Amino acid sequence: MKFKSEAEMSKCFRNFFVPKAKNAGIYWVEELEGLFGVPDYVFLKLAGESVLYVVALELKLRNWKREPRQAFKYRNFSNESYLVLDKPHVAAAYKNIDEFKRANIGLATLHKSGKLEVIFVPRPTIPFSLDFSYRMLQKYYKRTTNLFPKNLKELPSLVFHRSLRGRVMFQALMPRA
Amino acid sequence: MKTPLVLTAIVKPIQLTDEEQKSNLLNWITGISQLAGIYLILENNFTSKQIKDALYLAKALEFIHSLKLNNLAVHLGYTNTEAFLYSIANPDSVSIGVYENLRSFGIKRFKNLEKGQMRGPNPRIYSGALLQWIDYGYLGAIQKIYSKWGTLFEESKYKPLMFTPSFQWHFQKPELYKHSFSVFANQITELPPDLSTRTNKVASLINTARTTFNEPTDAGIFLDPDSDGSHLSFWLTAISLYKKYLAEAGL
Repeated sequence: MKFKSEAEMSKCFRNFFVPKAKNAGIYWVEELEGLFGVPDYVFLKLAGESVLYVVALELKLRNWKREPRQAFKYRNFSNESYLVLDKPHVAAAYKNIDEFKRANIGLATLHKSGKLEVIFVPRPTIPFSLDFSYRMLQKYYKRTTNLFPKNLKELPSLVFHRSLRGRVMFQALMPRA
Repeated sequence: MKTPLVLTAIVKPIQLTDEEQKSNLLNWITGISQLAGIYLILENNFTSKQIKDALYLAKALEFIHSLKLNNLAVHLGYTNTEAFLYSIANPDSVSIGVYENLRSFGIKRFKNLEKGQMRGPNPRIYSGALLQWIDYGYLGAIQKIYSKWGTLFEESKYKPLMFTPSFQWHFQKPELYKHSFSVFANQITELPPDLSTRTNKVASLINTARTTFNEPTDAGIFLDPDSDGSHLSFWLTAISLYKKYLAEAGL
């Protein structure tokens, strides 16, 4: 069964994945605008003043050819960036898995049942740009001020990590196919 | 002494690509006996930042050439990087705007200004080696992944400032444009005066730019269609079409 729209796909993802992330102490934000592209979801593992790990996701029904480029942009501020496709449409992308490997972009599928499967896990990397990383974080805090009444001017003192601990928590949430 | 009369002509894409409309326009322009030249503005309705239509570009070259054949001075306005390509049709001058909306002329810019909020474009840096304006959002990736990134962006007195971590990238920053003018001026100065040699030189530089794109791409930098080299093959085809036109015309 295919998703009828990206909105439906996003809703399914939100219903099934986001609660698990919350339980794991991972924060999330949807449709973060004003960055280089608009990621559908950004998940953050924070520890006090530090950012332990960031994963960005782009959800698409199909059209894998353009989307690895979109997901590539999110590497500016994330440790891992994924393209999540509707499961019935993943075959075309899988044929070109080498492109994902070259771009170091993860590929995952979402089934209507809510099952998320990771087909390719990218190498964890430090974000390309500290500037975009701070900007992402600023926007995140701005969006979630109720949860994080934080003085944005203090952000430059935050530390970005590529934490093994952060990654392990995400891997538990994103099982390999 | 009489002041030479120069006519501003805004030409729509269809007036270049449709032979009948092109003939009508050329007949009208060449029918004005007092004219010394044309300030030619080619309307750009393309959705991409660079022009990726070989036929359109070839027809633009033919149009410039036709005006020159009629002893009219041709001053091209509102051009972007394709000014480099247009140079092979021997226009008398080419002007390049500063901001993006001054490097392509579109009527739509003058419409619907009151509707919605206008958003500035992403800042970009010009690479002469790539013949492309690269979105600054890719600079982090380029610097991290491609060790020879410095070769992509030519030296200018503005470049060091742009690559300092504290530089606040914004499309209104003058350094972006001063850098591009400096680099572009060097490229234009190197063009040979002889048209045939110039054409070969332009084609060679476009080919080199295509090759130069390969290394960062192979290294794993996925540029979007407004920062990649996808326009370059269209430009090469435009040169071939223009050469064919000249050959068929016995020129």
